[in-house]
Amino acid sequence: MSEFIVSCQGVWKVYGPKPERIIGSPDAKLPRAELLEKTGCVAAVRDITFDVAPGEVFVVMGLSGSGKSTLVRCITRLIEPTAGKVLIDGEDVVTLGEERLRDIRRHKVSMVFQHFGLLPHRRIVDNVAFGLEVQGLDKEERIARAAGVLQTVGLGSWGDAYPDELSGGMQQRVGLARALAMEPEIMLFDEPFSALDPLIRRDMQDEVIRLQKEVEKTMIFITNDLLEALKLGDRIAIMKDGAFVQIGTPEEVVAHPADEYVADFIRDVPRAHVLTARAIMEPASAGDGRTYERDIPHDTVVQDLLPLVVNSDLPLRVMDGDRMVGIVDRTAVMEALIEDRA
Amino acid sequence: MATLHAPPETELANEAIESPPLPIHRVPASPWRRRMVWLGVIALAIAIGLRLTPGFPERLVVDVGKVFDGFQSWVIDHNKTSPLFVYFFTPIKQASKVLLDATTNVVQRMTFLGVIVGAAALAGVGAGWRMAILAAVGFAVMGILGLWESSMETLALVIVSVGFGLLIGIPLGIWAGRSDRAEKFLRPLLDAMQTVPAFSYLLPLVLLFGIGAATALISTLIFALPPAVRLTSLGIRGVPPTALEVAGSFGSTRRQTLTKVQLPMAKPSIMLGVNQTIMMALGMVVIASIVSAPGLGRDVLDGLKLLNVGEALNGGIAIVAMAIVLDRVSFAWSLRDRRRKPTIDVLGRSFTYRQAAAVAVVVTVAAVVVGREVLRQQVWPENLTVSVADPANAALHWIEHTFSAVTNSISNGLIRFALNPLKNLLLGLPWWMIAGGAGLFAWKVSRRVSLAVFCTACTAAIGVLGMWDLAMDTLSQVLVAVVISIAIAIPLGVASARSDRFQRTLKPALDAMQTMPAFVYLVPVIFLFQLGRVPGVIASVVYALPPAIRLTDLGIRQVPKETVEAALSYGATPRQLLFKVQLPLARPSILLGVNQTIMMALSVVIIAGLIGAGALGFEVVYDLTHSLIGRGLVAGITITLLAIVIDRITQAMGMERRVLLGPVGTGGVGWWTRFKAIPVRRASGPRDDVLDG
Ligand SMILES: Nc1ncnc2c1ncn2[C@@H]1O[C@H](COP(=O)(O)OP(=O)(O)OP(=O)(O)O)[C@@H](O)[C@H]1O
Ligand SMILES: [Mg+2]
Repeated sequence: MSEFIVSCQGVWKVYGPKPERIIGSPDAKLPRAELLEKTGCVAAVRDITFDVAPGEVFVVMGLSGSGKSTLVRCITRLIEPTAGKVLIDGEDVVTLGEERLRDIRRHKVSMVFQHFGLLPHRRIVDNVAFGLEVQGLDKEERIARAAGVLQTVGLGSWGDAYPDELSGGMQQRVGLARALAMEPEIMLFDEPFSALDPLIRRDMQDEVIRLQKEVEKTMIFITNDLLEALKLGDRIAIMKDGAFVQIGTPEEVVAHPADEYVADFIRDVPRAHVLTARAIMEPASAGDGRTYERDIPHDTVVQDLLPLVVNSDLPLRVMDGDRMVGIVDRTAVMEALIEDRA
Repeated sequence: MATLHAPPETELANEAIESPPLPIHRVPASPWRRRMVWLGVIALAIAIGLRLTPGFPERLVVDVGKVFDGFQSWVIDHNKTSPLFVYFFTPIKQASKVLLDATTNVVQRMTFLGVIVGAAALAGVGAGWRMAILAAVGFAVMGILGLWESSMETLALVIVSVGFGLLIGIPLGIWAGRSDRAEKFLRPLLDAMQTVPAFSYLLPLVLLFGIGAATALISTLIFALPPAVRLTSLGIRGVPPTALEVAGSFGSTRRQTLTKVQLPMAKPSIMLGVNQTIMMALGMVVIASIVSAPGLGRDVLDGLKLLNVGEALNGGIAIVAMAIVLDRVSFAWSLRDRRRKPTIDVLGRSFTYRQAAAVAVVVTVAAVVVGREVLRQQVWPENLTVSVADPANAALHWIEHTFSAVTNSISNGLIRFALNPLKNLLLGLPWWMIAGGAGLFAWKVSRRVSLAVFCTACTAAIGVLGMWDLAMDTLSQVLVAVVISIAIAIPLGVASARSDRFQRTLKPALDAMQTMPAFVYLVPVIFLFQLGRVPGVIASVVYALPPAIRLTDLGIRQVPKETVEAALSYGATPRQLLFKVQLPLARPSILLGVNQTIMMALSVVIIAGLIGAGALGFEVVYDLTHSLIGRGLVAGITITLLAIVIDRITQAMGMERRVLLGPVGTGGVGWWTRFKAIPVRRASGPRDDVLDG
């Protein structure tokens, strides 16, 4: 057993004639457009490797067409990967038989879709109970369980309605409830909120955060909205033309973008909201006799440091627990803010 | 996580609803238990019903036929004097005769060479050189079969009726496309025109116009009009509102908007309407041979009447050849896109359209001149004909001999285990039980009392008209044909939706089946099953298959991809996916297919009156040929009533609330649900663009 619950190793998905021949050949290195020109194949996902620890929220973000949906579908083989390994709880999904694969889909992983994927001919409870029904649970039990889950997403009284009677946000809560009803270890989200308007999107994000705290699921979350990625992700992977260009914590990504593409992405992010004391501090492990205005936890965001340094000339001491890790002074804070402008 | 500032506690979701105590969701009783109860009730009702007085009591019958006969006498007495005839019907009759004669005359004077070359040239300019070859070969086939003259008579009838159909239909369609009021006004009329089977048109027209070309022409016109109107209106309504806003914002007048925006953008749809109008016209022209319309229909009809199956086959093949030419050429024409390809290529050379048209005219004129002056031959030369009649008759005997064991047992089985029991059941129940049952069923599927009352009344009216027994006979044949047809079609549709390969294999067969007029289906089946009800049922089954297959396929393929993925991602097996997701979501489409199947089966079962299927169809044919106009009209009305009841009920089935509102309510199927009843062809493929656009 590995310490990771999901682990992708060298996953490829190539569309087109005889896709296997591309992998391992020199063509595999070509940019997408050239590859298409030369071989008629599209490499939707190329050589993706990452691990997700239990309870982690792993966000994949990228522009439209970068291969996010394809990647997330490769995890449960809704799309058959062309090459690579996908380990779930140490078991390679790619080589599984149909029977066992269905088992995993029924018990371990469940997914929330961009356009909800609800069944219009079924009541809300029956939609939520769909996964349980497929497992063969009897009617009374699955409806009772579905009703319970509906309650947790705040739609307790809507069970007898039909999907078309609900707003988009409510429908996605149903999608969420349907996934939760399976009591999966892993939840996959494919741009679940991009069809919703901004206010509702924010509510839904909070809902996910709340759920994550309550039920401690592992989540793989696809989005094309950087703020959403920063808000939800423990780690973020940035995808471009089928490949990851950077994986890191939100802070790492914002503080040290790997290349132009990522830098471009984060340009409009208010850094003060993301950067923490740790990212801008001057590392130091022991007091040098200076006096400090006060101690601050290392994950305080710059935004919150501002009032402290403005009101005092003394530097701040950055603490990780009981241990001192660095020093932040007014200049450092100002520099961080100025970079934000530029 | 959440390194970003947590937003202030939002008042929880403006849409999440304050929750009352944990609600108890109704766990619906198993649908199977409910169904068993229903079945039990029905069985009990039937058991009781069979002990009551069966059928419709004689004393309630009103002899409506007498009224019509009276009207006919009045017509005979007054058609020289009444202003209605002198100034209206008679001029129409004469005008259509003159027009038809003139067209026939022109076609004949062009000589066979001129017609073949002209058709090829026209097809070539409109639809490319492949279609030119197809047209030439198709017309040559008619000549080779020795049916040149009949073919030209049929062609003339088609040309004139299509000409009028478009002349009337396209303006009506434009009107309906631009005015909601017009659409509302026209829709029930068009619905009615498309619900009433072809046979019923003939009688009243015979009453007004007598037997002959005028009746044939006008009935064809009525039959072929609806698709032209509907598809024109649909095309115009399909123009995106932004395009209209743009036109408006630049100050276009209504007329400019029409000619510069709406019509050009609606063109693909209108052209499809032309294609459909042509095919409907051809289908009706051959049926109109019953009222002495000249042409290929007559050849088939005579063959059938004289039991000279070979002769009928000869005519049938010629009709098929004409159907294929007209359909493929006009369809290819409707797909042509000049913007993308401003030239036509012949043998590697490119010509502009103007050049091509000029060449076509010159070549045609030359061919006409050669035909008239050099060959001096109007019809296809006799010594170049090959009739299939004799070999076909020989083959018939061989088939009868070889397969009679199989076909006889199919025949007997169908009669003993399906047709007769059902007919006896329908005839053994009291009329009010059947009428009431129709009403109840209508209510059950629509929850509309008005529809229930309407269906009951229409069914009862059949009894009042004195046609109860014949109608039950027809109904039993239709039901048997429909059940068989659906039982074959839905599995095929499912298979076709699941495999692109299978869909591709099936496509040419379905296309071919949908090109042939219903009439033609009668010929091969009597090869195998002789005369009677069985060949009628078999022909109906075959004729009615394609729409149900295609609409099942379409319905399943239209299930949103994400919904399918969702089901799979929760671990549904292929079987669960089919029964819990795909079939339920495809339901409106499938039920529309069922509706189409029933209407098509009904139309063939009635035409099968010509080959001894008896019942209402035979009644109409018999009355027509024996001048029993009153009785024939009553039979025609009965057919119409039957068709309307069946149509309304099956349509209501497809429109149940729950299914209509789903994502399948729009797009191709939604279109069908709204406009229905244009024979479904190429449900997938190029036409989809037209439908969705
Ligand atoms: N069935 C297919 N056949 C061929 N190419 C495909 C197929 N499905 C996806 N692609 C290609 O793969 C690439 C990645 O598609 P994908 O849907 O995974 O992107 P995405 O990142 O999810 O984009 P979006 O944000 O728009 O959902 C695209 O360039 C697309 O053209
Ligand atoms: Mg996507």
